[in-house]
This record gives sequence, C-alpha cells and structure tokens, in this order.
Amino acid sequence: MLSVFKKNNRTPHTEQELIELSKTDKRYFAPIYERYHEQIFRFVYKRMSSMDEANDITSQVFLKTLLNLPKYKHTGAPFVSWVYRIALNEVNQYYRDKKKKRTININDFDIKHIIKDAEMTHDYQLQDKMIETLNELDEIKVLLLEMRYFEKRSFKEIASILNITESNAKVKVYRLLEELKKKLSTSQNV
Amino acid sequence: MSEEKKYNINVNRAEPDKQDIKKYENFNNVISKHKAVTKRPNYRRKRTYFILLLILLLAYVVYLSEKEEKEKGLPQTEQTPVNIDR
Repeated sequence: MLSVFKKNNRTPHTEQELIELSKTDKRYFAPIYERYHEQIFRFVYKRMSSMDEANDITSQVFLKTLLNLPKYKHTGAPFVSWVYRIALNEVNQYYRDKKKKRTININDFDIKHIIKDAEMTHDYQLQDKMIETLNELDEIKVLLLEMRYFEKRSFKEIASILNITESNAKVKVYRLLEELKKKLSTSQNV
Repeated sequence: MSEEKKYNINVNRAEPDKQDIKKYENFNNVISKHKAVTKRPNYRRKRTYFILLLILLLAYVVYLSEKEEKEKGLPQTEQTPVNIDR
C-alpha cells in the first residue's frame, strides 16, 4: 500500500510525463511554461514591433497550447516544435486580424551571412538591396530566411516547426538563396 | 521598387534581456484565461438547461391545471342537453 502511495505521489520528471498529466490537470503545465516561455517570447517578438504585442501573443500561444493539449500526440519531434507551430499561426492570425504589415527584425551580420551563402561578395549597396528584396518575398520565404539566418535554426528544427522533412527544408532554403541571387544580380545590372 | 512595401523591416533592433522577458512570465494569467474559456460555456449551458427545464415544468403545470379545469367543467356542459330532453 505504501509503495503505491509513493508511486502516485512521486514528482514527474520527464516532459512527456508532464504533458500527459497536464491533459487532466493544467497545473502540471507550469514547468513546461517556465521552460519555454522565453524562447517562445523571443520567437514572437522577432515578428512583432513591441514587447507588449509579443506578450499578448505569447500568452495566447500558451492558452492555445493548453486548449489543444488533449489532441497532442508525441510523434518523436520535440514538443516545443508543436508550440512554435501554434506561435506561427497566432502571429499570422494577428496580422490577418489587424490588417497590419508584418514586422521583420534583422541584423547586419545576418544579411552578410545570407549574402555569403548566396555566393555573392558583400558590399553595403548589396546589403541595402537585400533588405529591399525582402519586401518582394512571400510570407513563407521570409519565414524560411528568418528561421535559418535571423534565428540560426538548424534544418532539422525548421523542418519540425514547418512540419516538413529536413531535406525539403534544405531544398527550400537553397532555392530561395538562388532566387535572391538572381534578383540581386538583375537589380545590380540595372 | 516603387511598389508598396509588404513588411516593416527593422535593422539591428536591440534584443530584450532575460530579465525583461521574465517580467512578462505569468502562468496564472494563462490558467485563468483557460478557465474563462473552458468553464463559462459549461455554466451557460447548465443555466440554459435549467431555464428550459423550468419552462417545461411551468408549461406542464399550466397544462395540468387547464386539463383539470376542463374535466371539472365538461360533465356540466355535456349533461345539460340530456336534462332538457328529460
């Protein structure tokens, strides 16, 4: 009897255990929230213009995570990828509802990295052109650039967030680099 | 490049500190929002069913009382023509 008591009262350790327990008792979600809050906040803030907006979206993301938790099934991919996917949907929904222009946050260093990967030689004019070219890209292409170059995610991570295969993620990024190279070289010639 | 720009592009915006983000951490807020979203419809549903039940009960009581009244009144109206014949 005592052993059963101990077994029932033991504190859950693994993330999977916590997720399963959270499906019935939401309080078990607290450690998961604490573990991922910062990275989800940063992910959202990268796509927002202010901290307050990012905070609203982040709390909405965790609310949606809690609401959809009973539907979550562990497929081998990290749990946080699923939360990132919810975050992406929330960000998109926010811009759709508000009919605002989406915010992109970039660094000079990241632009240099893209130029290097596109096998072009860096100069400041090209850097400005690259920023201008971002405005011509679709949402999904911007998302790929953001995740690969501005957030420095691995192809594996990108794949699990976008729910595609790793090789597909690689192909998409390399095609995008080719497209950027073409666009930049034509604008340079003009 | 005369087209309207699709995105607001910020270059070299400062990243927030860990402490700045920590300030926004509020699990209780998420839990209370979750409660508000999941519990309220249940309460509403319960209240609606209760009101519906009350209306049905009231209708049944009214129906019963009317039926009783009819049953009381019926023999008199039916018997009058018989009495006249006799």
